[in-house]
Amino acid sequence: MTRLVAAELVKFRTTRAAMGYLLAVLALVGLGAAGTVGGAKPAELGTSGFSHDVLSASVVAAIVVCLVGIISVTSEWRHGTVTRTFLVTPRRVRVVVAKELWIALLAAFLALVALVVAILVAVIWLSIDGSPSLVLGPEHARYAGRLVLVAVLWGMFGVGIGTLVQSQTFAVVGAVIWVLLVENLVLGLLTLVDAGGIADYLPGRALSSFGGTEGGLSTGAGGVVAAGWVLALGALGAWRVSRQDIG
Amino acid sequence: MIEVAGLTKRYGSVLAVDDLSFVARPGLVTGFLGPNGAGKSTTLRAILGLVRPDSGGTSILGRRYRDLEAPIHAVGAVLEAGDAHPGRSGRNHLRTLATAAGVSRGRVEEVLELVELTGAARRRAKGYSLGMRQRLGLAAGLLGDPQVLVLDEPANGLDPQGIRWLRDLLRSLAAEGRTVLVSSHVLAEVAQTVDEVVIIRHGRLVRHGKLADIQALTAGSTIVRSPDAAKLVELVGHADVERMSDGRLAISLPPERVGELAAANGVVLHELTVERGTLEDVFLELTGGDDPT
Repeated sequence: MTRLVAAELVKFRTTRAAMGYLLAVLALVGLGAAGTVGGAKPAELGTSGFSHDVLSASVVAAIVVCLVGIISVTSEWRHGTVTRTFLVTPRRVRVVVAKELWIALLAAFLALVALVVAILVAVIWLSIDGSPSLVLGPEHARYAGRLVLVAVLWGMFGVGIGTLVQSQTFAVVGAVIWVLLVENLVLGLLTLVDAGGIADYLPGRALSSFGGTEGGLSTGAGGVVAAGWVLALGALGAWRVSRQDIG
Repeated sequence: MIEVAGLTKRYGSVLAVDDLSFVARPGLVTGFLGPNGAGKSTTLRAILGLVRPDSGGTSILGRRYRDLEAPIHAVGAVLEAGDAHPGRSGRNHLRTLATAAGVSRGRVEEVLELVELTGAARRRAKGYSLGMRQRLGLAAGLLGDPQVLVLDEPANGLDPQGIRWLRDLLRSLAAEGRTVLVSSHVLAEVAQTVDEVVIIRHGRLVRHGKLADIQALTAGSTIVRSPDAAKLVELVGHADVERMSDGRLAISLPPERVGELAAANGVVLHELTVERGTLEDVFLELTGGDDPT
């Protein structure tokens, strides 16, 4: 399994897209953190809540990682490399597991980079501005840890979607539409019949609950539901891949 | 050794492979021929565990592909040109496979050298010609120094020099005791490369045997040069006789019969040779004239 995870790393770093993803995370998180600092009221600076908001800017890494997760699988079909991949590793479930493990590692790395970038942007801005510096304590460390886990779950969620859908266009567009449109639509419809709470169990909202951005579940429940979705999608994807004909 | 036993595969209403059985043995290059849509690629993919048979099965070295301990060391496969990511260099493509299979980087350089791609190894695969992509596919297939090779149309896109190189490579690999199963539509090339031939049509086995035996299946002609050609034509009666531009006769009788007739009637012969049918003749005869692709 170590070899398969290492092979995923080689695949990732030997195309130009890898640098693009890293730059996207740096740019989006940097802009997000700058926007948070620049838009803060003077009274908010130096508070624990403000530090929380700065760390939240790193959540964009999770979105990028989800896309990387989808593309890491669907590009195998798009470019026909899946044939060679399954010739080297005919037990296909092992390939899916390796991709899940690899994306979890990448997600953790990118989320940490994003957190560092968000903190650095805020610290530098505040010091130049002469404003009170960022307050970081144990609760912020716990929150940062949760954001890393959110990115890991989003990444694994992406691999599951990619394995199940396989068409790159449908998987990427479908995931975006699902999170931005379908879940909100379902929430709206269920709220009309006083059952809006059910929508909190949808994957995007469960992950939001876990990340503490929105959603009606507790942090723990959100994490459990999101992990359940990740496992279910991964298992379904692995089942599909293990049974399908290649070529 | 590759064994295909009662392999059947259906795609919806299309029966791609129908109860197909044959064996490709070590030390031989076995040609796998059939018209377009005959089921060659499906069969090769079933052998390699990429396609699930509806019934029957396949084995390599006595085991199903997916049950092989280290598939890349047992079987080298070349199925399609262009199974590399277009944005990845040839060398990095091989390195991803080598990493997954536990093959050393030194071996990557060896196979690049073997397929004469070292000079282009840093270039991204999307800039490769079809012939270069074929060579890269071969390099990937040879990465594990396998005992068995399965190749689907490996000569596609190769120039004449490349085809000769491929022919020599396959012959040398077979001479080392490896099993080589190769599908091709270039029948002239196959005839120069293979020891045995498996011909399928509509997913069913039409003929399997040694190349020479298969070629002998066509009637062929007996070529005769004689100063008394007119008398010989009378003697062979209603057999088909064609007078060639150089004055020789092509007679559709076995050489033994022509020789006996000439001797019994005192006809002097200056030449008596046999012209066998080509593999293409046999192929067209056995497959009803379908295109050999």
